[in-house]
Amino acid sequence: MPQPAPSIPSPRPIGAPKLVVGVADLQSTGDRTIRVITHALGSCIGVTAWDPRTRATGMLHYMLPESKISPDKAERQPAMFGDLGVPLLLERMKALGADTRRLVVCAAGGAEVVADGGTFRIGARNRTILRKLAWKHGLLLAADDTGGNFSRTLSIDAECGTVRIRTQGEERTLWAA
Amino acid sequence: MGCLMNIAETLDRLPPLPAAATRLLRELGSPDADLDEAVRIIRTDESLTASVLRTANSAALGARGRTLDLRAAVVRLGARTVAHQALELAAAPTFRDAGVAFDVRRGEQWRAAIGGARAAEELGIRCGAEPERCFVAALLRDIGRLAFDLHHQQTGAEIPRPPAGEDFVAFEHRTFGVDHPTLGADLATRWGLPAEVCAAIRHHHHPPARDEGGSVLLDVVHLADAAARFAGLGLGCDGLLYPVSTAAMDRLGVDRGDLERLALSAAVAVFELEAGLNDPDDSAASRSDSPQPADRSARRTA
Repeated sequence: MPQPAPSIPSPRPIGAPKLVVGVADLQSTGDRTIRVITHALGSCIGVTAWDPRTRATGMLHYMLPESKISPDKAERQPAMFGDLGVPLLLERMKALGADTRRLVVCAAGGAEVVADGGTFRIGARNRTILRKLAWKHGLLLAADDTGGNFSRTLSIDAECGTVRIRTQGEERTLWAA
Repeated sequence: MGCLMNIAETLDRLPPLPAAATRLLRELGSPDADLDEAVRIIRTDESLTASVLRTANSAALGARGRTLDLRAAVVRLGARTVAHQALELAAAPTFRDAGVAFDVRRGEQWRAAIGGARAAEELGIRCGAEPERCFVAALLRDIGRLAFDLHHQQTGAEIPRPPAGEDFVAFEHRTFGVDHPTLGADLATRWGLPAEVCAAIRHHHHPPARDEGGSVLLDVVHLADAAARFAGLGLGCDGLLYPVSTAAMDRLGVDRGDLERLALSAAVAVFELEAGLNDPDDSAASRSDSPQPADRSARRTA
């Protein structure tokens, strides 16, 4: 019989220690004391994953949807690509004892170049691959903030799972338990 | 913000680049860059010489044995890396702190400069343009932001948030009466950089057609800037509010996939730079909150 998740504490102050996820980077942690953060999400997408029971926390910052565009770079830097990065994120979460069925997954980014005219649509393609992979792996996106033309900063508090977005000088909560 | 004409006047108050760095950039930005002349210029500057030797002897380059010879060091590093160092030294701390008025994180403007410059060099080689010239022009493409930064520091004036969907250069012009590409070109002219490098800075967001003064260099720098943005480099309050010229892509025979691969190259260039080419003693502090290089291990910051 499944056990109830422990009670969720309040988000820690913004000045708490943080683990920075770079562009084309993936980080995961079982350390509950920190905030995981990534900056400069333009057309890139940031994905957070959090297990409310174990407090395992992960974040991916991928640039492009599909690795086939550059197999050599994909081999060296799989987190550059959504199709490799998302499964890798799930593997890392499992390694930390997370159950993917419990994961709270959020996403942000996927902005578009202004006046794109349909040439690039990197943001849209990045969003599409995430939705496909979420469906494939049985994940439900708990919240997302994507599109537009602006960059975003995405963070998650490992203790309580609260996900925050900062854009254009304003911060808001994207998801909270 | 009623004091916008003052932004252009800040060009007079910006600290000049050290003489050796300016001469080096002029040399490397010229159509017939001469490595021997570059070495002679570096020799005239003690700190530049020390920096070149330090990088040439770094473990990250896999160099066997130490070299104390500047010529060998330049050959080992390449003119490109020498140009990095020239500007990095010259710009410290000015360039590392650049972009603050645009809400760009500390150090990020420099990362964007490097990523764009490497992308421009790669694209230049492919398109038959002088790669070092492409590198220098792309490296300096956003120096106009320095004028906005100085204005911001001196007056506390903030750049208002731009509306979604508006070209940011048009927004700057509408709001301030001047824009960062124009200021950057004016600054580069004052520094005595080659005319086509100045033109590439002026037009890096809107390269003109060939019969309107355009060139391969201008298109290369424009697309390199776009590639750097796709890599998330240098994003501030301006986000992705710069259109990408499909006409420039057509002129260079570049398609969407090419530009995306260029974005990957820009990102990798920054990873490599941060992985080892910088002396940890003088770079770690300034990058304490920057994304990490390719072998990025988990780390915490307070």
